[in-house]
Formats: sequence, structure tokens, C-alpha cells
Amino acid sequence: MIQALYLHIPFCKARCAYCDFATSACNDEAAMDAYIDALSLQIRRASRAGLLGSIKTIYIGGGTPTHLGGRRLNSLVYLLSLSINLENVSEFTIEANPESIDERMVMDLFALGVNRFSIGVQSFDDAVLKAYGRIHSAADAERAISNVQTREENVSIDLICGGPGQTMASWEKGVNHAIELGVKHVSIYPLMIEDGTPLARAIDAGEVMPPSDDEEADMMERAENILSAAGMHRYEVASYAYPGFESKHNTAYWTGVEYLGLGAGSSSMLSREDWDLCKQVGIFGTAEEVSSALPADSPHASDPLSETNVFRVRVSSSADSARFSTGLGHPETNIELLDERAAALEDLMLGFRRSEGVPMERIDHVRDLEPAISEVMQRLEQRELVQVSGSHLAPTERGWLMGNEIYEEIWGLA
Amino acid sequence: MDLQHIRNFSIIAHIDHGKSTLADRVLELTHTIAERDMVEQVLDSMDIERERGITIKSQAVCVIYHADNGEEYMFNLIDTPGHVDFSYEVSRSLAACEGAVLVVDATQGVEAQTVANALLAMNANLEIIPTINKIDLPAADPERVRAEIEEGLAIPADEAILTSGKTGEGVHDLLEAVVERIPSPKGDADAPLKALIFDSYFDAYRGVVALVRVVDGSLRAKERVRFMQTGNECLLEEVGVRRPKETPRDELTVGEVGYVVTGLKDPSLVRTGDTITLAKHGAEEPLPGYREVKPMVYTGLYPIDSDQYPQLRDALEKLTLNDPALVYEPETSQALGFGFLVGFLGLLHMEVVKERLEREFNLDLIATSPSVEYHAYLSDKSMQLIHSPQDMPDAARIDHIEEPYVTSDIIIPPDYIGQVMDLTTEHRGIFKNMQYLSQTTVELKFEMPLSEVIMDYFDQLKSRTKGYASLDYDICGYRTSELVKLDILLAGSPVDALSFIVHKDAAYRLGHSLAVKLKGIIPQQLFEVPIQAAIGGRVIARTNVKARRKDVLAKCYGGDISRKRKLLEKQKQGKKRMKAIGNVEVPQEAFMALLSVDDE
Repeated sequence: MIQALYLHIPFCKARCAYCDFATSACNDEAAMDAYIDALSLQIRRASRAGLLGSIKTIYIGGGTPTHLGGRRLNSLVYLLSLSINLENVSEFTIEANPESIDERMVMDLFALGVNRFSIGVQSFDDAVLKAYGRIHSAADAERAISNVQTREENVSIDLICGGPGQTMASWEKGVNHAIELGVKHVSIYPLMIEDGTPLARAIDAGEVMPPSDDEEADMMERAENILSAAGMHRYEVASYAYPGFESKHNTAYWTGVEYLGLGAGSSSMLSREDWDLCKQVGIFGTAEEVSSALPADSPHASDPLSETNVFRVRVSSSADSARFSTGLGHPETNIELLDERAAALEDLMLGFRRSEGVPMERIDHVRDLEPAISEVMQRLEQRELVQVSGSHLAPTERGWLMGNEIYEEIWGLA
Repeated sequence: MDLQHIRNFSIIAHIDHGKSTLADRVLELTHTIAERDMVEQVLDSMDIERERGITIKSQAVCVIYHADNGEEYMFNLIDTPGHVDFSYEVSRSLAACEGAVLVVDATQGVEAQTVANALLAMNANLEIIPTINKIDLPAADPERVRAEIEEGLAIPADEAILTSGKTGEGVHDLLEAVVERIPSPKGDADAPLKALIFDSYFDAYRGVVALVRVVDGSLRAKERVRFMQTGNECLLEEVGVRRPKETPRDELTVGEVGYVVTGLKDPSLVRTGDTITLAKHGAEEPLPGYREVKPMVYTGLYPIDSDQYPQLRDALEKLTLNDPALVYEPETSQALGFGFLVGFLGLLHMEVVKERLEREFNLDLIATSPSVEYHAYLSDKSMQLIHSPQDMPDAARIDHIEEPYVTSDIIIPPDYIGQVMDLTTEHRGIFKNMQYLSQTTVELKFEMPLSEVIMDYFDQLKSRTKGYASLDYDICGYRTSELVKLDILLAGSPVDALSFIVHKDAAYRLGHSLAVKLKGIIPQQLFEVPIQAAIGGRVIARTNVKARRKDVLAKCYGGDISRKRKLLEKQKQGKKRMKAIGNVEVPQEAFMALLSVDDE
């Protein structure tokens, strides 16, 4: 049962210095129209096939969805309201950037059913914003937040720590400012230097200093102190919220809930049955495109899906938005097939991103599929990365900061 | 073939002076191998040999040469290992010959192993044909090299042959010189059989195949023979010559070189230097010069993944079949688990073996710092052999320790005399002698501990002399030294595999540099890792690897999951090359850190 729907909008006004996501700077009106048309077609197909009947959360992300402008966004959201019974949708998030969201847009989206706004603030320090290659100022961000708050209190912002030139003082100020502005949810990310980005090149050229791991760790810890003192709690490695404002859509990703991603560069995680449905109605392209996207090393390469042990299918659709828009097909789509054991291990690893951790009975279930998990859990406990907390096994303080150690051990079995 | 028409000779040279290429040209010119079948350097058959440009096994090829005088000659060309690690093997190959072609690079001139090999050839009473090779190179200076050969080796060089292995120029002259100058073999066809084994290899179907030179008598298939040193007997299944493909013959007659198939499955029964005679009515005395091969360098080899222990054992077993000089016995390390203490002829031998184990047998190995064979004399007057720091008895029980010394022979341009003196003295070398081989080359002789040579002495020698130095060494006996065992502690626990034996005076300096070096090699862990160097429980140096504080995937939403998974898998691959000791992840190279500790 697909409960979470993600729509990808691969356009931004300008690309940020650190970004390596599936998006591009695009101000071509016709290209954006064509994309929305193609996406709408995909939504209608999914709806007709009955894939959207159980949707509980919707997330429009990017890219910068608000860069589409009010007209296109409204028509997209309106189509969703026709395709999905929004009565059952408890969380409907849209991502926004400070430079492209105005009061009018907020009013319309709110009226159409959007009830959560996630704003890419990243920093309240103009010098840092510049280093990130952001095209908005701290003042723009404040204005955007207050615009949204005229209609909807459920506002989340992203803050990135460890940027070039960022000091602890500026970081603390920014986190405190988030509280002052009354946002309900904050995502804290350490800056990742991705190969091939302008920021990586600037660092290689010695123009800017990369943040040190220690500084980043200090900032992440400091953020946790400030935000929890204000009453927020860290419910996932990177996510803080006041009680009741935890993101339901993101929680779906970490709890093994099926999700469907539409649009170029989106990802889906589907049960075998729902995958078969998607295939029948051509959600991810023609039968030929799908078979060429299947893993080549499968012993059943001609039709890997004839294997009875396929339990879960992961689809990462091609990021080629131009081909997506013109209906020319879905090249470079990537499909992974997971058996029940691999799926259980993946759910377990994702479970440890959450503060409540993983219920013991889930671990028992994994043990039935992979006995070696007992040893792994024991080792993680010995290394003080996880600990027993009531009926759950939960990450420790160290487990938060050293999450990769946990994920590696678990994925090592998969 | 009658004795008058046989020529047995070897080609000897310093590494990279073009020996193998020249040998290839000889095969080509005698039509032994059609040009189209030529693989570069046919005689060096192992991949690693070809890659490194060295020969570690002997080979013998029988070629027929139509000389300018209209007669046919049987040439037995014996290719020898070119490295100092294998000098005994070289000496046995030379004993099978009457002459040697001494190849000297026209641009490099006489180098340490040119001298060492020439001396070996002279000691074997071989007729030497000096050959100046690579004359096609623009930097070739045959006149200078000629002078070096005359002055440095006391070999008349006015009749030196000028060749180019690359273009083939001069190779015909060389073959004619072999006919004219190298004596035909002497030997008594009617005397009881004596055949010298100068190498052997293992064939899965036919057992050990030995390369032999018939010194007296003759050797026939289906004859029962005796190995005079080991006393074993076997029935020869086949005899023949290598052209270079094995070509069976009814017999090998006096003076000839060829192979014999023994059918023996245990390579240790067929030893280089042994004499084959007939089981009945055999010779009285074996040929002189036999020696039991003894390893010079020992190191522990451990699989990173302990599950690979059986594979490592099988691999070593297989390698020993073709390399009887390799010895090993099981060893257990607290830190590394089950492994083997392996003895080698020298550092190069060790590197080649380790590389083959990893490459051909797909093993991930940790090699501990190499050690020599120490003699520990205990208070009760008994002597204990020490091959690894782990064997070291308690200091209180030791009266004194002796370590092997070598005479080292270094050839350099005179500009570097000062640097080499300094370096060698730092490595406890005692200067013995200096001799100018020519205006541009000088030979220095030192006595120094073998343990110093097998550390990074050679690399440093090369770097301090901008690559000009060449080194040769030979064991000259055991001497008393003040040696201590230095232990390394990680997170408070001694790691046996990181211990080493060192001279007392160097212990502080090495202990400190090693601790610093390890700090750079051991990655940050979840907790702080103190690194200490200690002698007998007394800490003499310490550093810390700071704890790693953060290692987390920032975002992990729908689209990130597959992507991050690939990232983590990559990280995991890197960790596979590490060994968990207690809670500390230690990379492979930490165990060899001692070898490069003086680099900074």
C-alpha cells in the first residue's frame, strides 16, 4: 500500500555552490510548462491504476518547487486534489526557497490543501549564504517565514553547519534565531562537499577552507543543546521538532513505508505488487525501458522479476528532465531488487536514524532472516553506539554523530 | 653431441642492463623461436619477473648455432637470477657453465652486481666475454665502460663485444665469440655418472623436474638414480633438452645440459647443488660446492580475514613446490591470529612472494616487519634461535645476543662518498675499504648488521645518491650486539605483531619516530587511541590518535538511500584492508611502518 507520494521539481533559479542534486538552473517557461504537463500525465496514470488510493502524505520537493511560480504550482496541486482524496492526507509539504515564495502563493497553496512548508534557509549569516552560492539574504528568509506564518504555523527550515567562513558564534546566533522566529521544525545538516561542485573546486583551488569534522561536530552538538533547551526534540539524526510537528512524510522513509516518487530524478520504494501495477500502466516507461533498467548481473537477467524472492523494488528514475518532459522515454532509470532479508536490513538501518530506535520485535524479525544480526547488535552495544531504551534499541549520543558506523555494520550484512 | 661442439654459458649482468632482451635476440638469431612466437623476454616466464625486469628462477635453453666456420654447435644458454638474494643459485648455475657473457650497460657502466657476478664467474673459473650492451642509446659511452671493466674487474676489455639487444646489432659477433673463446666442456664419458642440479621446478603431473649439467658419464631415461647429498633415489621418467619447449631424448651425454623428470612429489628431495649419480655403480664423491639454502630474512604473514588461513597455507605449499628456498612454519600472534613465520633469501624474495600470494591466490595479507635470525645465548649457556620478536626470551634470562653481519659492497660515483659514509655509519656500518674502479666509480666496503640492511637502508642509499648507488652483500658471521625488544602498545595493550628487535642506542629514536608514524597511519576511531613505545614495560615514547567525533550521512530521504548505500559500500571496501586489534582498526601498512620510519 503506497502511503507516501513524492513529486520532484528539478528546477532552481540558480544552482548552489554545494549542490549535486537532480536539479538545474532553469528560467525557461516553456520547459517548465512541458515538465508540469508530463508530470501531470504521470500522476493521472498512477491515479487511474489505483496507486494513489492510500496516500497519507505528499511532499513536493526539488529543486525549488516555488520557482515554478504560482500558476504552475496551483495547477499541479489542483490536479493532485482531483487525483487523491486529500481528506485522508494528513501532511502535505512543499519545499520553498526564500527568494521565490510570496504571500499570494502561500494563500493559494494553503487553500488547495498544503499544510506544511519547508523553507531552505540554510543560514542567517549573509556572508555564509554568499559562500554557499545562495541567491537570497537572511532578510529574505525572515520575510518568507513570516509570509507562510500568516496562514500556516507548520514551518520547517533547513540549516547547514560547517560552511566556509562560518564561526561558532554565527552558527549559534542562527539556531537561536530559528527559535525566535517560531518555526516548528529544524533540519540540521553538516555541509557535504560533493565532487564536481563549485564548492569542491573552490576548496581544491585553496580559495576557501573546508570545515573540519571537529568543528562540524561541535556545531551539531551546540544546535542540539539550543534546540532541546527550547523544547524541540531530535527525532532523527538531522531533524528537530516540537512535539506533534515531526515530519510524517520523512518518517515514512525511515520506517519501511511504501512510497512512490514521480517526476524526473525521483525515487520510489514499492512492494512487488505495486511495482507490477506501475509496470502495467507504464509509470516508469515502456516495457523495454524497464527491462533495460533492471540489474544486469541478475541470474535472471531476461526477467529478474520472475524470481519469486523479490520482495521490494527500488526505482531511481532518470534525472533527465528534458526527456521526461517530451515523453521521449526514461533512459538511465535504475532499478534495484531486494529480497525480504535485504529489505529488513535496510529498514533496520534506517530505523537507527530515529531517536526512538527500533522495537525489539523488529530485531527479532530480522534475526529470523539473518541470524548474524545478533552479533552485529552486540558489537554496536559494546561500542556504545546503540543502547536498550525501554522496548526499543536506540542510538546513543555517539550513535547520532557516528551514524555511519551503525549503518555500515548493518548494511555490511545486506 | 661431441664435446668439441658444445658450449655451456651463462649471461650475467646487473639488473636492467639488458640481459633478458639480449638472450631473446640469441634465441631469435638461432631460429630457436620463430619471430612471430616471440614474447618479449621469453626466459623470464613469471609475470612478476617480467614486470620487475628481474629473473628469480634459472632457465636453460638449448639452441643449435650454425657458426661461420660451417659447423653446428649446441649452445646451452643458462639464464641466472640477477639479484643478490639468489647468489647461491647463481653460483650453481655458473658451475654448470664453462663461460659467461658479462653484460654491462653502455650508459650505466659497472655496477655492484656486475662486480659481484663477475667475481662469481671468475671463482667458477669461467671464460668471461665482456659485452657492452645498449650501444644504440644516445648516452652510450662504450669507451668509459671499457675502461671500467678493465680497471674495476681486471678483465681485458679490448675484445669486448658491442651489442644492442634492441636492434640486434653485434649479436652475431657475440655468438661467434662464444664459439671461439668459450672452452668446450671437459668430462669423462666413461666415468660413473655425475650430473649437477642447478635448478628445479614442479610439474603437477610429473613431479619435480630438475635442470642438470652432465659432468661425467651419461644420463638415460628409465634409469634408477641417487641424489648424493640427500640420499634419495628415484627412477627417471624422462630426460631431454629445452628448446625452450621440453624435447625428450634417449640420453643426455657428457657435457650436455638438459632436464630430468624425477616423478618425485616432494620438492625438498631435489636440491639445487646436489649431484645425481646412478643408484648402482654410482660415483664415490659428489660434486663440490653444495650448500643447504638458509633463509636470511623472516617475516610473519597473516591473512587480514582469518578465514583465509587455510587458503594461505595451501598457497604457501604450492609456492614452495617451485621455490624450495621458501620455508615457513605456523605462527600465532595475539593481535593477528593464525599465520605463518616465513623465511626468505632476502627482501626482494620476500616482496615477490608476498605479491604472488596476493595476486595469484587472491589473499589480503599483513606482513610484519622483517627480522633476521638472531642467536640468543641464555644464562644457562644454551643458545636459542630468534626469528621473530615474539621468540625473544625474557631479558633476565639472556646472557648476550648475536646478530648476523654482512660485508656490503657499494659502488657509487665519488661525489657521494660522504653521504654513503654517513648513512652507513648511522646504520652501524664499519668502514673497511675504498677502491677506485675508475675515475667515475668507487667501491666502498663496509661490515654492517644484516638487520640494518633489510630495513630501509637500500632505499635510503638510492635516494641519497640520486639512484646511482648499487649494493651487494654477503654474510660474514655473527657478532654480539646490545639488542632490545621494543614493544608498541595500542590503547594500552601491547601488539605483538608490532614489536621489533633493535639496537639499544637506536631504541629511543626509533620508538619515538615509529609512534609518530603510526599516529599518521592509524585512522581516527570512535575513542582516543594512545600509542606507546616501550622497552621491557618502560614507556619511552607516546602519542595519541584523537577520537573521531562525527561520521554521519547528512540527508537520508527517498532518493538518497541508494546513493548513500553505494557510498557506504565504498567506505567499507577501504576498511576491509584493516585489521581489528582489540577495538582498534589498524591498516595493513602499520605493520611495515618500521621499514620507512626514517623517511621524515
